[in-house]
Amino acid sequence: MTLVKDLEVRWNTTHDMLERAVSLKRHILEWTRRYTDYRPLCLDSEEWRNIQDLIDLLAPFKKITMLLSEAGTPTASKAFLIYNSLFTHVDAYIPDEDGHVQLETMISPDVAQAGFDKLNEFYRKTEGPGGFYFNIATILDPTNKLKIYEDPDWEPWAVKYKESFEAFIAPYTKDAALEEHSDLPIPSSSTTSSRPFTLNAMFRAKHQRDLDHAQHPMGEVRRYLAEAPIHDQRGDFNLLHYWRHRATEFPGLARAAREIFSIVTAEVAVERLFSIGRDVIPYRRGQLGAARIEALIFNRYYRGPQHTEALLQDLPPRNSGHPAHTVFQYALGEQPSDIGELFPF
Amino acid sequence: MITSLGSSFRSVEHPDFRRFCRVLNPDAVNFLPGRTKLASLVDKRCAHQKNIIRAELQHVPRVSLAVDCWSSTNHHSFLGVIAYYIDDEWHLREHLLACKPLSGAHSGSALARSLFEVLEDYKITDRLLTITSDNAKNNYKMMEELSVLLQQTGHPWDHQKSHIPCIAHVIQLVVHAMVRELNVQLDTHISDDVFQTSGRAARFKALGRETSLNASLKKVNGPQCLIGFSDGLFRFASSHTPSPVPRNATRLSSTSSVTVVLLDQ
Repeated sequence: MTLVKDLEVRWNTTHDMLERAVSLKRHILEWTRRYTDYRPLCLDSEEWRNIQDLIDLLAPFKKITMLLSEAGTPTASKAFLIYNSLFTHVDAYIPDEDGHVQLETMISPDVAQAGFDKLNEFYRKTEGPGGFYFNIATILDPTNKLKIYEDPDWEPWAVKYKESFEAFIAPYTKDAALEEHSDLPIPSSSTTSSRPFTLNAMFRAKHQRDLDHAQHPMGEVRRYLAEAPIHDQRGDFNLLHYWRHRATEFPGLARAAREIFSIVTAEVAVERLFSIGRDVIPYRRGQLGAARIEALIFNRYYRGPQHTEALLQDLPPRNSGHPAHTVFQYALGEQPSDIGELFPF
Repeated sequence: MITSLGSSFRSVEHPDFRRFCRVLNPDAVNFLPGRTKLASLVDKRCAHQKNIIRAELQHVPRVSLAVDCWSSTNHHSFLGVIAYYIDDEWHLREHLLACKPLSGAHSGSALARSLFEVLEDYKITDRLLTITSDNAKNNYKMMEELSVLLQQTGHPWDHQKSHIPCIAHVIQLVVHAMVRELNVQLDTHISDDVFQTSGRAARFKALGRETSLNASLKKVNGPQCLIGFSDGLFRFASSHTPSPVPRNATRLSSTSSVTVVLLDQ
């Protein structure tokens, strides 16, 4: 373990630096005590407390960045919650109208205010069209549905968001209903009321009701919203599993969910891609053309047996024992499965 | 292996590498690719991979993208495009679509054209859902221009709804705003303080008298800069199990002794 330097260009280094310094506090104290030159750098206990205050201020930002960097699960339905939690966090540092500050801290309210303003600048964008898909995703998240909008803070938006959700979902539920009842004749609704009352007409009317009910774009939505939001006690709720299992029950919603949850809220994967890029272009490979660099990045990105299988088809059959296989696998950056044949001795 | 190590294609022709392969398999020289062959293999695999993804994307209802630009050290620029979708088994999938070389300026319209080419290449112009990018101005312009291009092909796309600003970037901007408000310029400022040995003691003394949060931060950063820059000597596995550190006369004596002090504990 070593100390971490604070760098402007990299994310969260201020937080990491301070946290590491605190964990190595004992050594820093020892160090500053032994060397007169550095003695002024020794922090007293109050200063350490200030440092801790600053860590506490930055910690949630760091944590959310970390969580967003872990790929694999959809995050769009959490966007509003992320903003909300950060607002609540910085709010605690800012005095309310009576001049009360919730937290006892060394952090100046101006610092928190600067964070608040910046946060607000981007958050405001989600109030307009920018928040459209976040809203849809939030409601399609069965652990939430309309829950966060019940908070008084959300009052101005609650109705609007629900309506915009219903308008978005309508074509999906309608399509799903039509597909389900595609075997039924679709009577035109304008003529049914004037029909004579016969047994035939009565059954027709029942058909019509079923169809109407199914076709009612909000039938499915109502059923979904009527169920209480799921309480994710262990924090491991998988909303894709949920929609997979409920797909027959809520066909239209599930179809929308499958599309909506492809939305990513952070482009950390692209940043990761570029760090591959930095790896494939060490300083002595100045001659590499741009197209070749792309090819190299692709080769690195799609590393793993499932990806090379297809390429190896051009080579002699896999089980022919032809050593070319193994060497090509090596050349392509993989662990050959049958390493034995490389070591005949 | 060559591509993983980031070595050049030429290294496959290096006599030592060939000797190494011969040891592993005496037959190796007969089929070991040369550098041209290896490079073409890499290209081929890239093209092949793109074909696989192209086929896979054809039966996906909607696709979302994450997009960013990058300039490499050898002055090439790239547009990185990653696609996300949920497959038939309800797994969220992530695929690299392109790391498209860009020529000329990174203007919004140039980016939009490049991105549009990628979309057309993979035939997903009709199923694009959202694009996530950072908050740079040219990205907003790119989305606007892209929606025009998509409109022309008969696939209207609402860039205001469908441009998702990257939350991780927003968080960093918020953190920067707060750190700026703290008025600390840790990086450059303290490094100067630390490395200009003349008058350092006096500066440190002055710093020592300050009690602001700002000063505390500088004090913490001081040792980090000093130690971090000197060399890797100041490494120990953990505070309880210090790893042995070789002492070396050519290295900064102060650091060595610091290490020794720390190891003493």
